[in-house]
Amino acid sequence: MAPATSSPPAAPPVDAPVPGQGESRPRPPSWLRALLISLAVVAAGFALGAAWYKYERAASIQPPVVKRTTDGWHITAQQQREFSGLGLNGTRLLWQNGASIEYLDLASGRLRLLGPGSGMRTTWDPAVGDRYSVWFEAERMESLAARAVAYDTRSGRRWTLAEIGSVRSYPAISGDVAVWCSAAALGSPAINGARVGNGATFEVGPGDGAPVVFGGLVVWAASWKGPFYAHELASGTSRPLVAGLTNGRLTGLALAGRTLVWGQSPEAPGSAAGVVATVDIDGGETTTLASGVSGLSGPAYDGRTVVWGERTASGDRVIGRRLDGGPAFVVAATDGTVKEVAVSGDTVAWIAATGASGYELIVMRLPR
Amino acid sequence: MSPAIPARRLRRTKPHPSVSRDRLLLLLLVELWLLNVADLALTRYSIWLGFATESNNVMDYFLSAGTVPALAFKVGIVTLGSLLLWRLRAYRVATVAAALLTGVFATVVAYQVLWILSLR
Repeated sequence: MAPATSSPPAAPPVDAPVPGQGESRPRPPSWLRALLISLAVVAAGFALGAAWYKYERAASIQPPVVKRTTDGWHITAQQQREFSGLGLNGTRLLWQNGASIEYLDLASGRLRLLGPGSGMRTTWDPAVGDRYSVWFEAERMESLAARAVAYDTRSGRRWTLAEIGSVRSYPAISGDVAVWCSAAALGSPAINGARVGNGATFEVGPGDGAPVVFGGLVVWAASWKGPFYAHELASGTSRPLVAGLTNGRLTGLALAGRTLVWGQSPEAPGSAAGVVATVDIDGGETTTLASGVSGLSGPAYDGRTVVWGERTASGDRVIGRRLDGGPAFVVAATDGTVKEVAVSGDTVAWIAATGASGYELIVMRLPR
Repeated sequence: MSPAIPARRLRRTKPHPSVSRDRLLLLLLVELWLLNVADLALTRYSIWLGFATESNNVMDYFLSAGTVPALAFKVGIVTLGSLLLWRLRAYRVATVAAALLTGVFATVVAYQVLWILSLR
Protein backbone atom coordinates (compact mmCIF):
# COMPACT_ATOMS: atom_id res chain seq x y z
CA MET A 1 0.00 0.00 0.00
CA ALA A 2 1.30 3.35 -0.96
CA PRO A 3 1.70 5.77 1.89
CA ALA A 4 -0.73 8.65 1.97
CA THR A 5 2.05 11.14 2.40
CA SER A 6 5.73 11.11 1.85
CA SER A 7 8.46 13.34 3.04
CA PRO A 8 9.72 15.69 0.36
CA PRO A 9 12.85 14.63 -1.42
CA ALA A 10 16.00 16.46 -0.72
CA ALA A 11 16.14 19.84 -2.37
CA PRO A 12 18.22 19.95 -5.51
CA PRO A 13 21.35 22.02 -5.55
CA VAL A 14 20.98 25.69 -6.02
CA ASP A 15 20.20 26.51 -9.65
CA ALA A 16 21.34 23.00 -10.62
CA PRO A 17 20.62 21.77 -14.13
CA VAL A 18 17.45 19.79 -14.41
CA PRO A 19 18.31 16.12 -14.76
CA GLY A 20 17.62 14.76 -18.16
CA GLN A 21 18.20 18.01 -19.98
CA GLY A 22 21.51 16.91 -21.29
CA GLU A 23 24.26 19.40 -21.56
CA SER A 24 22.34 22.67 -21.11
CA ARG A 25 24.21 24.79 -18.64
CA PRO A 26 22.34 26.60 -15.85
CA ARG A 27 22.22 30.33 -16.12
CA PRO A 28 24.18 31.94 -13.31
CA PRO A 29 22.16 34.11 -10.91
CA SER A 30 21.99 37.67 -12.16
CA TRP A 31 20.85 40.77 -10.33
CA LEU A 32 20.33 42.53 -13.63
CA ARG A 33 17.98 39.84 -14.93
CA ALA A 34 16.05 39.82 -11.66
CA LEU A 35 15.78 43.60 -11.79
CA LEU A 36 14.54 43.59 -15.38
CA ILE A 37 11.89 40.96 -14.61
CA SER A 38 10.68 42.80 -11.51
CA LEU A 39 10.54 46.09 -13.42
CA ALA A 40 8.57 44.34 -16.16
CA VAL A 41 6.02 43.33 -13.52
CA VAL A 42 5.78 46.95 -12.35
CA ALA A 43 5.54 48.21 -15.92
CA ALA A 44 2.74 45.76 -16.66
CA GLY A 45 0.90 47.04 -13.58
CA PHE A 46 1.41 50.66 -14.68
CA ALA A 47 0.07 49.83 -18.14
CA LEU A 48 -2.96 48.15 -16.61
CA GLY A 49 -3.58 51.17 -14.36
CA ALA A 50 -3.32 53.56 -17.31
CA ALA A 51 -5.72 51.40 -19.32
CA TRP A 52 -8.13 51.32 -16.37
CA TYR A 53 -8.00 55.11 -16.12
CA LYS A 54 -8.53 55.58 -19.87
CA TYR A 55 -11.41 53.13 -19.92
CA GLU A 56 -13.15 54.82 -16.98
CA ARG A 57 -12.78 58.25 -18.57
CA ALA A 58 -14.19 57.04 -21.86
CA ALA A 59 -16.96 54.77 -20.61
CA SER A 60 -18.12 56.35 -17.39
CA ILE A 61 -17.05 59.98 -17.10
CA GLN A 62 -17.37 60.88 -20.78
CA PRO A 63 -15.68 64.27 -20.73
CA PRO A 64 -16.74 66.79 -23.35
CA VAL A 65 -14.74 67.34 -26.51
CA VAL A 66 -12.77 70.57 -26.14
CA LYS A 67 -11.31 72.26 -29.23
CA ARG A 68 -9.47 75.53 -29.47
CA THR A 69 -10.73 77.83 -32.21
CA THR A 70 -9.16 80.91 -33.75
CA ASP A 71 -10.68 83.20 -31.13
CA GLY A 72 -11.79 80.92 -28.33
CA TRP A 73 -13.07 77.46 -27.56
CA HIS A 74 -15.66 75.06 -28.92
CA ILE A 75 -16.85 72.44 -26.43
CA THR A 76 -19.20 69.66 -27.43
CA ALA A 77 -21.13 67.35 -25.13
CA GLN A 78 -20.84 63.61 -25.55
CA GLN A 79 -23.65 61.09 -25.41
CA GLN A 80 -26.34 63.79 -25.61
CA ARG A 81 -25.40 65.10 -22.17
CA GLU A 82 -26.95 68.41 -21.22
CA PHE A 83 -24.86 71.51 -20.58
CA SER A 84 -26.11 74.11 -18.08
CA GLY A 85 -24.99 76.33 -15.23
CA LEU A 86 -22.54 78.39 -17.27
CA GLY A 87 -20.16 80.42 -15.13
CA LEU A 88 -17.36 82.60 -16.47
CA ASN A 89 -14.92 84.70 -14.49
CA GLY A 90 -11.66 85.77 -16.10
CA THR A 91 -10.08 82.62 -17.50
CA ARG A 92 -12.20 80.32 -15.32
CA LEU A 93 -15.08 78.60 -17.07
CA LEU A 94 -17.34 76.26 -15.12
CA TRP A 95 -20.45 74.46 -16.23
CA GLN A 96 -22.54 71.40 -15.56
CA ASN A 97 -22.12 68.51 -17.99
CA GLY A 98 -24.86 66.06 -17.14
CA ALA A 99 -24.19 65.45 -13.45
CA SER A 100 -20.53 66.42 -13.78
CA ILE A 101 -19.09 69.78 -12.83
CA GLU A 102 -16.45 70.71 -15.39
CA TYR A 103 -13.80 73.39 -15.07
CA LEU A 104 -11.85 74.65 -18.06
CA ASP A 105 -8.92 76.98 -17.58
CA LEU A 106 -9.19 79.12 -20.70
CA ALA A 107 -5.54 80.17 -20.46
CA SER A 108 -4.06 76.68 -20.44
CA GLY A 109 -6.89 74.63 -21.92
CA ARG A 110 -6.78 72.23 -18.95
CA LEU A 111 -10.13 70.54 -18.32
CA ARG A 112 -10.80 69.31 -14.79
CA LEU A 113 -13.65 67.27 -13.40
CA LEU A 114 -14.65 68.82 -10.07
CA GLY A 115 -17.76 66.92 -9.14
CA PRO A 116 -19.81 65.14 -8.07
CA GLY A 117 -17.85 63.80 -5.13
CA SER A 118 -17.83 60.16 -4.14
CA GLY A 119 -21.25 58.88 -3.11
CA MET A 120 -23.00 61.82 -4.78
CA ARG A 121 -25.15 61.43 -7.88
CA THR A 122 -26.75 64.84 -8.34
CA THR A 123 -25.26 68.29 -8.82
CA TRP A 124 -26.75 71.72 -9.39
CA ASP A 125 -25.49 74.60 -11.52
CA PRO A 126 -22.17 76.02 -10.28
CA ALA A 127 -21.13 79.61 -9.68
CA VAL A 128 -17.60 80.87 -10.17
CA GLY A 129 -15.89 83.89 -8.67
CA ASP A 130 -12.42 85.31 -9.03
CA ARG A 131 -10.95 82.53 -6.88
CA TYR A 132 -13.59 80.17 -5.56
CA SER A 133 -16.44 78.29 -7.15
CA VAL A 134 -19.45 76.81 -5.39
CA TRP A 135 -22.09 74.26 -6.33
CA PHE A 136 -24.46 71.83 -4.65
CA GLU A 137 -24.28 68.05 -4.51
CA ALA A 138 -26.62 65.41 -3.16
CA GLU A 139 -27.28 61.71 -3.40
CA ARG A 140 -30.45 62.41 -5.36
CA MET A 141 -32.40 65.39 -6.71
CA GLU A 142 -35.12 65.29 -4.04
CA SER A 143 -32.64 65.01 -1.20
CA LEU A 144 -33.23 67.06 1.91
CA ALA A 145 -29.55 66.83 2.70
CA ALA A 146 -27.74 68.57 -0.13
CA ARG A 147 -24.38 70.12 0.55
CA ALA A 148 -22.60 73.16 -0.80
CA VAL A 149 -19.19 72.27 -2.17
CA ALA A 150 -16.43 74.83 -2.70
CA TYR A 151 -13.42 74.64 -4.98
CA ASP A 152 -10.34 76.82 -4.77
CA THR A 153 -8.97 77.44 -8.27
CA ARG A 154 -5.61 78.46 -6.80
CA SER A 155 -4.86 75.42 -4.63
CA GLY A 156 -6.98 72.92 -6.56
CA ARG A 157 -8.72 71.79 -3.36
CA ARG A 158 -12.43 71.12 -2.95
CA TRP A 159 -14.31 70.76 0.31
CA THR A 160 -17.79 70.69 1.77
CA LEU A 161 -18.68 74.28 2.56
CA ALA A 162 -22.01 73.70 4.33
CA GLU A 163 -24.88 71.29 4.73
CA ILE A 164 -27.75 73.25 3.23
CA GLY A 165 -30.88 71.06 3.45
CA SER A 166 -33.06 71.15 0.35
CA VAL A 167 -32.01 73.22 -2.65
CA ARG A 168 -34.28 76.14 -3.66
CA SER A 169 -31.91 77.99 -5.97
CA TYR A 170 -28.50 77.80 -7.55
CA PRO A 171 -25.65 79.55 -5.74
CA ALA A 172 -24.10 82.89 -6.63
CA ILE A 173 -20.65 84.05 -5.59
CA SER A 174 -18.66 87.26 -5.37
CA GLY A 175 -15.23 87.33 -3.80
CA ASP A 176 -15.46 84.83 -0.96
CA VAL A 177 -19.18 85.38 -0.32
CA ALA A 178 -21.54 82.72 -1.65
CA VAL A 179 -25.32 83.03 -1.35
CA TRP A 180 -28.21 80.74 -2.21
CA CYS A 181 -31.76 79.88 -1.25
CA SER A 182 -32.34 76.69 0.68
CA ALA A 183 -34.63 75.23 3.28
CA ALA A 184 -33.61 73.23 6.30
CA ALA A 185 -35.68 70.14 7.05
CA LEU A 186 -39.22 71.23 8.04
CA GLY A 187 -38.03 74.82 7.77
CA SER A 188 -39.10 77.70 5.57
CA PRO A 189 -36.96 78.73 2.59
CA ALA A 190 -34.40 81.40 3.33
CA ILE A 191 -31.63 83.24 1.58
CA ASN A 192 -28.47 81.80 3.10
CA GLY A 193 -24.81 82.41 2.58
CA ALA A 194 -21.30 81.50 3.56
CA ARG A 195 -17.84 82.97 3.62
CA VAL A 196 -15.95 80.49 1.46
CA GLY A 197 -12.57 81.39 2.93
CA ASN A 198 -13.39 80.59 6.56
CA GLY A 199 -16.54 78.49 6.15
CA ALA A 200 -18.71 80.78 8.29
CA THR A 201 -22.37 80.47 7.30
CA PHE A 202 -25.08 83.08 7.78
CA GLU A 203 -28.73 83.72 6.97
CA VAL A 204 -29.48 86.78 4.87
CA GLY A 205 -33.17 86.60 5.58
CA PRO A 206 -36.36 84.71 4.85
CA GLY A 207 -37.21 84.47 1.20
CA ASP A 208 -37.68 82.08 -1.66
CA GLY A 209 -35.84 83.30 -4.73
CA ALA A 210 -32.57 83.01 -6.58
CA PRO A 211 -30.12 85.54 -5.12
CA VAL A 212 -27.19 87.29 -6.76
CA VAL A 213 -24.35 88.92 -4.88
CA PHE A 214 -21.68 91.51 -5.51
CA GLY A 215 -19.36 92.62 -2.74
CA GLY A 216 -21.53 93.08 0.31
CA LEU A 217 -24.79 93.46 -1.59
CA VAL A 218 -27.29 90.61 -2.05
CA VAL A 219 -30.32 90.94 -4.34
CA TRP A 220 -33.01 88.38 -4.99
CA ALA A 221 -36.40 88.17 -6.61
CA ALA A 222 -39.20 87.10 -4.32
CA SER A 223 -40.80 85.07 -7.11
CA TRP A 224 -40.32 84.32 -10.81
CA LYS A 225 -41.94 87.69 -11.54
CA GLY A 226 -40.37 89.79 -8.79
CA PRO A 227 -40.29 92.04 -6.88
CA PHE A 228 -36.63 92.45 -5.95
CA TYR A 229 -35.17 92.77 -2.49
CA ALA A 230 -31.74 94.08 -1.61
CA HIS A 231 -29.72 93.24 1.49
CA GLU A 232 -26.56 94.91 2.70
CA LEU A 233 -24.39 92.34 4.45
CA ALA A 234 -22.42 94.99 6.35
CA SER A 235 -25.43 96.64 7.96
CA GLY A 236 -27.77 93.64 7.87
CA THR A 237 -30.57 95.75 6.40
CA SER A 238 -33.00 94.60 3.73
CA ARG A 239 -35.29 96.68 1.56
CA PRO A 240 -37.47 96.24 -1.50
CA LEU A 241 -36.11 97.61 -4.75
CA VAL A 242 -38.12 99.89 -6.97
CA ALA A 243 -37.71 98.52 -10.47
CA GLY A 244 -39.88 98.72 -13.55
CA LEU A 245 -40.79 95.07 -13.78
CA THR A 246 -43.14 93.78 -16.47
CA ASN A 247 -45.46 90.88 -15.89
CA GLY A 248 -43.15 88.35 -17.51
CA ARG A 249 -41.15 85.50 -16.07
CA LEU A 250 -37.62 86.39 -15.05
CA THR A 251 -35.09 84.80 -17.38
CA GLY A 252 -31.96 86.01 -15.63
CA LEU A 253 -30.64 88.26 -12.90
CA ALA A 254 -27.14 89.73 -12.79
CA LEU A 255 -25.48 92.14 -10.40
CA ALA A 256 -22.22 94.05 -10.67
CA GLY A 257 -21.30 97.11 -8.69
CA ARG A 258 -24.58 98.83 -7.79
CA THR A 259 -26.29 97.92 -11.04
CA LEU A 260 -28.87 95.19 -11.37
CA VAL A 261 -29.68 93.73 -14.80
CA TRP A 262 -32.53 91.36 -15.48
CA GLY A 263 -34.51 89.81 -18.29
CA GLN A 264 -38.22 89.11 -18.42
CA SER A 265 -40.10 87.14 -20.98
CA PRO A 266 -43.82 86.52 -21.40
CA GLU A 267 -44.93 83.08 -20.43
CA ALA A 268 -46.84 82.65 -23.69
CA PRO A 269 -44.58 80.63 -25.98
CA GLY A 270 -43.44 82.42 -29.12
CA SER A 271 -44.25 85.86 -27.77
CA ALA A 272 -41.78 88.54 -28.78
CA ALA A 273 -42.20 90.81 -25.80
CA GLY A 274 -39.10 89.96 -23.83
CA VAL A 275 -37.32 92.78 -22.06
CA VAL A 276 -33.76 93.33 -20.87
CA ALA A 277 -33.58 96.11 -18.30
CA THR A 278 -31.29 97.61 -15.71
CA VAL A 279 -31.69 99.70 -12.59
CA ASP A 280 -29.37 101.41 -10.13
CA ILE A 281 -29.68 99.78 -6.72
CA ASP A 282 -29.46 103.14 -4.97
CA GLY A 283 -32.39 104.59 -6.85
CA GLY A 284 -33.10 105.79 -10.30
CA GLU A 285 -35.08 105.05 -13.37
CA THR A 286 -35.27 101.63 -14.91
CA THR A 287 -33.45 101.61 -18.24
CA THR A 288 -34.66 99.25 -20.91
CA LEU A 289 -31.76 97.87 -22.91
CA ALA A 290 -33.84 95.77 -25.28
CA SER A 291 -37.52 95.11 -25.79
CA GLY A 292 -39.60 92.96 -28.08
CA VAL A 293 -37.08 90.17 -27.67
CA SER A 294 -38.10 86.68 -28.66
CA GLY A 295 -36.60 83.57 -27.07
CA LEU A 296 -34.72 85.58 -24.47
CA SER A 297 -31.94 83.84 -22.52
CA GLY A 298 -29.86 85.57 -19.87
CA PRO A 299 -28.86 88.33 -19.48
CA ALA A 300 -25.35 88.21 -18.07
CA TYR A 301 -23.49 91.27 -16.86
CA ASP A 302 -19.88 91.77 -15.76
CA GLY A 303 -19.95 95.43 -14.76
CA ARG A 304 -19.45 96.78 -18.26
CA THR A 305 -21.15 94.61 -20.85
CA VAL A 306 -24.63 93.06 -20.82
CA VAL A 307 -25.02 89.97 -22.99
CA TRP A 308 -28.17 88.02 -23.84
CA GLY A 309 -29.46 85.50 -26.34
CA GLU A 310 -32.42 86.06 -28.63
CA ARG A 311 -34.22 84.31 -31.46
CA THR A 312 -34.75 85.80 -34.90
CA ALA A 313 -36.30 84.49 -38.08
CA SER A 314 -32.86 83.50 -39.31
CA GLY A 315 -31.86 81.75 -36.12
CA ASP A 316 -30.60 82.49 -32.63
CA ARG A 317 -27.92 85.04 -31.92
CA VAL A 318 -26.01 86.47 -29.00
CA ILE A 319 -26.33 90.20 -28.44
CA GLY A 320 -24.14 92.50 -26.39
CA ARG A 321 -24.47 96.04 -25.17
CA ARG A 322 -22.03 98.11 -23.19
CA LEU A 323 -23.57 100.11 -20.38
CA ASP A 324 -20.99 102.85 -20.72
CA GLY A 325 -22.42 103.77 -24.09
CA GLY A 326 -23.16 102.57 -27.56
CA PRO A 327 -25.90 100.57 -29.21
CA ALA A 328 -26.51 96.86 -28.94
CA PHE A 329 -24.34 94.74 -31.22
CA VAL A 330 -24.40 91.21 -32.51
CA VAL A 331 -21.76 89.05 -30.85
CA ALA A 332 -22.46 85.98 -32.96
CA ALA A 333 -25.14 84.14 -34.83
CA THR A 334 -25.40 80.65 -33.43
CA ASP A 335 -26.42 77.18 -34.44
CA GLY A 336 -29.28 75.85 -32.36
CA THR A 337 -31.03 77.52 -29.47
CA VAL A 338 -29.11 79.73 -27.06
CA LYS A 339 -29.79 78.46 -23.52
CA GLU A 340 -27.41 80.44 -21.34
CA VAL A 341 -24.92 83.26 -21.73
CA ALA A 342 -21.97 84.53 -19.68
CA VAL A 343 -19.57 87.43 -20.02
CA SER A 344 -16.36 88.44 -18.29
CA GLY A 345 -14.07 91.19 -19.55
CA ASP A 346 -13.46 90.66 -23.24
CA THR A 347 -14.72 87.07 -23.22
CA VAL A 348 -18.23 85.87 -23.90
CA ALA A 349 -19.57 82.32 -23.65
CA TRP A 350 -22.88 80.67 -24.34
CA ILE A 351 -24.51 77.27 -24.29
CA ALA A 352 -26.54 76.27 -27.33
CA ALA A 353 -28.77 73.26 -27.80
CA THR A 354 -28.23 71.89 -31.28
CA GLY A 355 -30.17 69.18 -33.00
CA ALA A 356 -27.19 67.18 -34.15
CA SER A 357 -24.80 66.92 -31.23
CA GLY A 358 -27.00 67.85 -28.29
CA TYR A 359 -25.28 70.69 -26.50
CA GLU A 360 -22.29 72.83 -27.30
CA LEU A 361 -20.50 75.59 -25.46
CA ILE A 362 -18.85 78.39 -27.38
CA VAL A 363 -16.25 80.75 -25.93
CA MET A 364 -15.03 83.71 -27.96
CA ARG A 365 -13.75 87.24 -27.69
CA LEU A 366 -16.22 90.06 -27.60
CA PRO A 367 -16.13 92.20 -30.74
CA ARG A 368 -14.37 95.48 -30.04
CA MET B 1 -7.40 -0.87 2.12
CA SER B 2 -7.34 2.50 0.38
CA PRO B 3 -6.73 5.66 2.38
CA ALA B 4 -9.72 7.86 3.24
CA ILE B 5 -8.13 10.87 1.56
CA PRO B 6 -6.40 10.56 -1.78
CA ALA B 7 -2.70 10.84 -1.46
CA ARG B 8 -2.36 13.59 -4.05
CA ARG B 9 -4.51 15.89 -1.97
CA LEU B 10 -2.12 15.70 0.89
CA ARG B 11 0.95 16.05 -1.24
CA ARG B 12 2.96 18.98 -0.08
CA THR B 13 4.45 21.50 -2.45
CA LYS B 14 8.08 20.78 -2.89
CA PRO B 15 10.54 23.53 -2.13
CA HIS B 16 12.72 24.58 -5.04
CA PRO B 17 15.40 26.86 -3.68
CA SER B 18 16.94 29.11 -6.26
CA VAL B 19 19.30 32.02 -5.88
CA SER B 20 17.94 33.64 -9.04
CA ARG B 21 14.39 33.47 -7.77
CA ASP B 22 15.46 34.75 -4.36
CA ARG B 23 16.91 37.82 -6.02
CA LEU B 24 13.75 38.36 -8.04
CA LEU B 25 11.59 37.94 -4.93
CA LEU B 26 13.70 40.37 -2.96
CA LEU B 27 13.43 43.02 -5.67
CA LEU B 28 9.69 42.45 -6.03
CA LEU B 29 9.21 42.85 -2.28
CA VAL B 30 11.25 46.06 -2.24
CA GLU B 31 9.15 47.43 -5.13
CA LEU B 32 5.97 46.30 -3.38
CA TRP B 33 7.04 48.14 -0.24
CA LEU B 34 7.80 51.33 -2.18
CA LEU B 35 4.53 51.14 -4.13
CA ASN B 36 2.68 50.63 -0.85
CA VAL B 37 4.15 53.83 0.55
CA ALA B 38 3.35 55.63 -2.73
CA ASP B 39 -0.24 54.35 -2.51
CA LEU B 40 -0.60 55.79 0.98
CA ALA B 41 0.95 59.12 -0.01
CA LEU B 42 -1.29 59.44 -3.09
CA THR B 43 -4.39 58.45 -1.13
CA ARG B 44 -3.56 60.98 1.58
CA TYR B 45 -3.00 63.68 -1.05
CA SER B 46 -6.26 62.85 -2.85
CA ILE B 47 -8.17 63.10 0.43
CA TRP B 48 -6.45 66.40 1.21
CA LEU B 49 -7.49 67.68 -2.22
CA GLY B 50 -11.06 66.74 -1.34
CA PHE B 51 -11.61 64.54 -4.35
CA ALA B 52 -11.44 61.14 -2.68
CA THR B 53 -12.60 59.21 0.33
CA GLU B 54 -11.03 56.04 1.69
CA SER B 55 -13.37 53.17 0.86
CA ASN B 56 -11.45 50.65 2.99
CA ASN B 57 -13.02 50.99 6.44
CA VAL B 58 -9.92 49.78 8.28
CA MET B 59 -7.64 52.24 6.48
CA ASP B 60 -10.27 54.94 6.87
CA TYR B 61 -10.09 54.41 10.64
CA PHE B 62 -6.32 54.80 10.67
CA LEU B 63 -6.35 57.73 8.25
CA SER B 64 -8.85 59.48 10.49
CA ALA B 65 -6.43 58.99 13.37
CA GLY B 66 -3.66 60.70 11.43
CA THR B 67 -0.91 60.09 8.92
CA VAL B 68 1.49 58.39 11.36
CA PRO B 69 -0.99 55.69 12.52
CA ALA B 70 -2.02 55.10 8.91
CA LEU B 71 1.61 54.85 7.83
CA ALA B 72 2.45 52.51 10.72
CA PHE B 73 -0.50 50.23 9.96
CA LYS B 74 -0.11 50.12 6.19
CA VAL B 75 3.66 49.76 6.18
CA GLY B 76 3.49 47.29 9.06
CA ILE B 77 1.00 45.01 7.32
CA VAL B 78 2.93 44.96 4.06
CA THR B 79 6.25 44.49 5.86
CA LEU B 80 4.85 41.51 7.77
CA GLY B 81 3.45 40.02 4.56
CA SER B 82 6.76 40.59 2.80
CA LEU B 83 8.68 38.87 5.60
CA LEU B 84 6.29 35.93 5.40
CA LEU B 85 6.80 35.64 1.65
CA TRP B 86 10.55 35.89 2.14
CA ARG B 87 10.49 33.04 4.64
CA LEU B 88 8.62 30.98 2.04
CA ARG B 89 11.06 31.93 -0.70
CA ALA B 90 11.98 28.31 -1.36
CA TYR B 91 8.50 27.87 -2.84
CA ARG B 92 7.76 29.24 -6.30
CA VAL B 93 4.30 30.33 -5.22
CA ALA B 94 5.86 32.97 -2.93
CA THR B 95 7.46 34.68 -5.94
CA VAL B 96 4.25 34.41 -7.95
CA ALA B 97 2.29 35.97 -5.07
CA ALA B 98 4.82 38.79 -4.73
CA ALA B 99 4.66 39.46 -8.48
CA LEU B 100 0.86 39.57 -8.40
CA LEU B 101 0.80 41.90 -5.40
CA THR B 102 3.41 44.18 -6.95
CA GLY B 103 1.47 44.27 -10.21
CA VAL B 104 -1.78 45.14 -8.42
CA PHE B 105 -0.13 47.91 -6.40
CA ALA B 106 1.51 49.28 -9.56
CA THR B 107 -1.92 49.31 -11.24
CA VAL B 108 -3.47 51.23 -8.36
CA VAL B 109 -0.59 53.70 -8.14
CA ALA B 110 -0.63 54.39 -11.88
CA TYR B 111 -4.39 55.00 -11.79
CA GLN B 112 -4.04 57.38 -8.85
CA VAL B 113 -1.17 59.30 -10.45
CA LEU B 114 -3.12 59.84 -13.68
CA TRP B 115 -6.25 60.78 -11.77
CA ILE B 116 -4.42 63.32 -9.61
CA LEU B 117 -2.65 64.76 -12.65
CA SER B 118 -6.05 65.34 -14.25
CA LEU B 119 -7.00 67.52 -11.28
CA ARG B 120 -3.84 69.64 -11.19
